[in-house]
Amino acid sequence: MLFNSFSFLLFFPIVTLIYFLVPHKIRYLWLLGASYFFYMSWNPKYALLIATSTVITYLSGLLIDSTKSRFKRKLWVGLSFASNLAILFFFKYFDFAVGNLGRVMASMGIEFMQPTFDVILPVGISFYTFQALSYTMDVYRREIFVEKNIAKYALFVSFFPQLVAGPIERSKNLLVQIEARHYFDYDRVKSGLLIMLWGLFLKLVIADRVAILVNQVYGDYAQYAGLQLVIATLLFGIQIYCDFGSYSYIAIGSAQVMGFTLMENFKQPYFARSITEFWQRWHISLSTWFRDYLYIPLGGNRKGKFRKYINIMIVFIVSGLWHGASWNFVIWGALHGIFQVIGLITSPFKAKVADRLGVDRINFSYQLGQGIITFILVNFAWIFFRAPNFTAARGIIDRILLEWNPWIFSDGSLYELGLSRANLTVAMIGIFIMIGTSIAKRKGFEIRATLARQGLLFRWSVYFALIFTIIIFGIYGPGYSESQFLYFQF
Amino acid sequence: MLIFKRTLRVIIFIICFVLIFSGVSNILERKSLEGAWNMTLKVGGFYNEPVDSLDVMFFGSSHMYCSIDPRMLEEQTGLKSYVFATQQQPLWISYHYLKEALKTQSPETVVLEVHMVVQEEDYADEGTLHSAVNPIKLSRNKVEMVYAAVPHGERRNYILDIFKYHDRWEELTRDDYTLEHFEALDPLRGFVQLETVTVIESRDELEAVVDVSEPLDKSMEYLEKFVELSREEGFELILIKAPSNATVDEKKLYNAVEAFALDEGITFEDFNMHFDQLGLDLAMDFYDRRHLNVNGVAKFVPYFGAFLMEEMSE
Repeated sequence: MLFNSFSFLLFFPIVTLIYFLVPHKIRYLWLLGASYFFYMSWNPKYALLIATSTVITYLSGLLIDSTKSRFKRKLWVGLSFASNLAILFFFKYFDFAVGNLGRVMASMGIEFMQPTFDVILPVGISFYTFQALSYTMDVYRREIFVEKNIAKYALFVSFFPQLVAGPIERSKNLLVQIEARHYFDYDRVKSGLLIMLWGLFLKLVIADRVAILVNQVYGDYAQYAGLQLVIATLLFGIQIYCDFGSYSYIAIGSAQVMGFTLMENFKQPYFARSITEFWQRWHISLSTWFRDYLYIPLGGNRKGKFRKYINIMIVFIVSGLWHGASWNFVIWGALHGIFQVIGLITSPFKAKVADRLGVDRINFSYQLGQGIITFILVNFAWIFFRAPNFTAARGIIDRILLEWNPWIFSDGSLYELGLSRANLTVAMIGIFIMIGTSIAKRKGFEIRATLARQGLLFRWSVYFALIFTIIIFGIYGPGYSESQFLYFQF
Repeated sequence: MLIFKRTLRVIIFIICFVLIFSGVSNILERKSLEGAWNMTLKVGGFYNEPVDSLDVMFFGSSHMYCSIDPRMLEEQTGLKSYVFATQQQPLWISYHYLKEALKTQSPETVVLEVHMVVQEEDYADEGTLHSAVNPIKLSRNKVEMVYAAVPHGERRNYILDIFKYHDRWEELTRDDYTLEHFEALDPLRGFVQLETVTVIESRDELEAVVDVSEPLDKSMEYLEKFVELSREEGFELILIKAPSNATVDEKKLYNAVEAFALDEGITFEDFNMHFDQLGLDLAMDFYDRRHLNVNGVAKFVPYFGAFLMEEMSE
């Protein structure tokens, strides 16, 4: 069930209530049952898949721990990774790989009957696979105890708040908390609910609203010229941040209600002043996963500058592929890799030039400039992420560069992109509120804590304003189909 | 003490939420207050009629509400009545409309126009359903109505119709805010006054139609419930078919109702068969092929009034 669905609105309070009523010793069992129920609401059969990955990685933990032989330990790690990635490959990349193989063969004049693996991608498979594999690696590195209780381990892999779209947790964080006792704390629960509410606001009021415009423009890009495509692209940047970020907020909030602390997944990413910094603020759980389990094993930056650049490219191309089985995602990933490599290469050069010219690189205007350039680069890359294919992406870029149409701001055609004037206004107000809170957080201002200290009338006004903004302005209901969170196909 | 204070606060918060929610919901709900088919006033206005003031109540679909003018009926027979019907209303909704009416009224006679035995699907379309369900006040009966009439998965949009109408924020008008209709009465008492005249070329010959087509099980189930309710509550149930230039296929379905009525000892009268006695004129008396206009009503009501008085005196 989606987070922004009626079912979840019923599911969550019931699960939480019983969670707090049931004795501590069996709470994890209740959560495990609830998590599998949650997962099976998409497709009961795929519970077998997640159970398989769970059992494989659970056993890998036991096996790795059972021996001191370096070779055997590496063997179990290898088998765990190979089997889980094979499952991931078959369900996610088989058709893509076969399709490409077919094209290569065809270009060589060889006939090739393409077998197809016609299965719907199991929800969240990329997320939980990575989460389960991190456990194998952590046991090998002796960074986590071995979990002997398979039910507790299964909960680690399937914990419903973060199962379907992250944050991708580490055993050091989540498994440890599953072992601990959690108590009802009125203030903590209130705060968690507020976080969930904020997530719903981002998703239903902003993300799903701007998606209407983005879908219309990107769905028929040839009809639109430069600035319309720019607007759609920028709004896609907003959409994907609000959509994905909202999911993380709801995950973190719901976990917090039950007493669990999940990792932060986004830290005002669009304020980043370099692509490298962007990836320290965007989808943090994924980028740290890649850092710890791909980049560092590849050698990281310990094998010289050139090797470092290669490693960065590998990691980002794989990351692109992780997002989807299509060349567009690979290009998107590669772009981010290239931006970072260029950034690293030119860094000393830039420092020298700034020095020569006497440019102050610490003041606000310079940093603002860096932020804007980074923002532009990120949005340029989003074109590849969002466009249906490479040709479309190229077409969109051409139009942006060549067909400049500023008159759309005054001749009313701005309101023909899928959102009426009123709706566009609501979206803009929502975005400004979001930016405002992001700036506040960036400055270290603790919004929820400060809110909790205010008078009752003020606090309740804020709560009701938020709740009714979602109910009135949210994009949901029979007029619209419940839109899918973007990241569910990953 | 702290637990008590906090629990109290939570409860008050929930109460405030419910109050604001229903206020916002009332403003956002789609209202039909203008024109001949102002159902929000016709159905909603019923609640404002004085309690226990009605002698007769009329239920059914558009065939019902275009055929009876309660003011004319009262002038003629002295009977106070109300037409509590909406367009294309399936019988299972009419049943719950009756239950709703019985909360505040105790009519001696209940007349059900049975056209909707022609209903072919277990669930009607959204427009029909919302028109019928929206103006009814939230109550257990309304929830039962929704469960009977709306398929699973969509019921929430009828029980709490803010989920359907929240997008109306973009198009709210003064009427939406003033909520005057909550206290208003429909001067026409549920009657839909149709002025237009359409010349009808011809009508089907129904005299010789004796075949019976079976209506939906669901329709018959609810007809039985009507009969049961009449026995429980002690009112007289009369089933009628208003003049509607019925087709042969429709007549076959009405024949099933006739057989049913016979079985149950209930009066059923198809006024299509009284076309000549009513003196109806195909060129003057119809709004469209199926519905009487004001001219037709002027002929039908006196005739029907006499029929009704006779039924009620038996």
